[in-house]
Amino acid sequence: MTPVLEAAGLRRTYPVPGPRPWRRSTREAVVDVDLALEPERSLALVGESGAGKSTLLRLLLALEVPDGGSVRFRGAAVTPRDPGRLRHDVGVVVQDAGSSLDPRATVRTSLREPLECLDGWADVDHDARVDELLAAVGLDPEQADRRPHQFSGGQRQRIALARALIANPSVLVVDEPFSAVDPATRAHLVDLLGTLARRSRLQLLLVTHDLGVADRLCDDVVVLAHGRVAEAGPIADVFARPRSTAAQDLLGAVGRLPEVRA
Amino acid sequence: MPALELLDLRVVVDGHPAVDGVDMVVGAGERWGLIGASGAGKSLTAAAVAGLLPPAAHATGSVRVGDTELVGAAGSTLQRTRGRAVTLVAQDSATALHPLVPVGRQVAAPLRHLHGLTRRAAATRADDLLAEVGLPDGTARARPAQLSGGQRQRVALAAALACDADLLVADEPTAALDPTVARDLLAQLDRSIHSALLLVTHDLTALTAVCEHVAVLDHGRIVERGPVATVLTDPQHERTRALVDAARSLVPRTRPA
Repeated sequence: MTPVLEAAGLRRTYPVPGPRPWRRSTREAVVDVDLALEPERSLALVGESGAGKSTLLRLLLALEVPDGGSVRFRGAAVTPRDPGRLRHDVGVVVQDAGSSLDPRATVRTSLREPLECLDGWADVDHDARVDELLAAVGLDPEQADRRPHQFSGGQRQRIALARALIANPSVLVVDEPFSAVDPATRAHLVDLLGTLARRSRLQLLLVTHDLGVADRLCDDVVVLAHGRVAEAGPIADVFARPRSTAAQDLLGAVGRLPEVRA
Repeated sequence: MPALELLDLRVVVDGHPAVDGVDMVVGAGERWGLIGASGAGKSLTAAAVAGLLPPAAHATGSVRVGDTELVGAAGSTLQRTRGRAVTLVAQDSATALHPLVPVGRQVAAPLRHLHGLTRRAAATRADDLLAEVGLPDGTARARPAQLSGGQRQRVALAAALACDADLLVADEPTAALDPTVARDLLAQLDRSIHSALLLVTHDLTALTAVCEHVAVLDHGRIVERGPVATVLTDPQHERTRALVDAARSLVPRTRPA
């Protein structure tokens, strides 16, 4: 079967200041990356800071042009100039999503915006859809006319999640899910994301360095290190028998809690 | 004499009781963790202990660090206490360290001002401390911006060790770090600290890695306390149970044997 989202030979290099001002140097952020989001499966992109996760994500979302290789969405090549169905079918929750909301706009205005921009929503009652999504993420639709600062950090994350889901995407991309909230809130939000994904047959593409979140929500994993794919496969296999040093390091850094004796 | 004694500590911010009657004793050399949800009063308690409460906060009760009472103490007393009796490793050393001063001089400063070492002796000792926390040779000459987040936290730890106080307060020292870097810093903390420790964290794996005892804060009060292994495996209070359940649900189920 054709993968839903597929990268082949992706490569991205950035110019960086060299040792001498007149000698330009470059840094390879993403090198020959192949990956596939297979139908009906969810994928986690894991790696340390600087491994190339965010650059790879920008390439996959056709926000940036690769220096080499290609990205295909449902079999069709996508580029920033011609993203095809990608903008319609992929919802995105950016990192620190709570602060990505327009502070001057009410929650209702922020949530209606995708419906006004994307095809297929002209005949739908936008306000009803906003209420439906706020309820789905566990917020009171009565609060839709408030502004972001009137909500807590965890609630703002829920609003950003509702905004990403409002146009009914088939794929949801989440960059560092809920890293800015405390663990109890994060656990709630991770559960909520899992429930929503199951309920609406939504495929997740998570970018994270939290292996617990990846393990809870995804089927497959791609481990990135120094811009390259160090290891890829079903999470159960990779986490149980990591072969690459990168995966072993990440798994070795997972903290431990005292074992509960039965 | 205990390193720290809190007696009915209350901190009011804007009319809101953020810390609401905390009693706690940290014996000499003991390592305590302070956990709780956001807004439970962890950081204000730590700030009160470190003598660094913001001007808007009003504290009553008692905070005794060694034999010094900090609640209601004069600015000069607080200043004398900070660094000598208690020292702090903050959450974000990017802002805690001076951006323009080479880190070696920042580690040497407490050695010269608190312990009266000469400039040369302090510089040598600072080099030793930087090496002790696992930083490469030559780090002393670097400025904070030239170091990674993990390296900066190690510098902050070295500066805290240089104070040689009887109590070290660490407020979320690994919150801004990658998991692998955080693990290494915690191992370093575990190796290097010989004084009493108050670790404020919401990461229960960090607590497990470093502390022997734990107190659980909820709405400004301690609702449970005891040995880490007991509290985390058999939590009695519902807030503790919620924190432990959340932490366990976020640890990967599959892992290498």
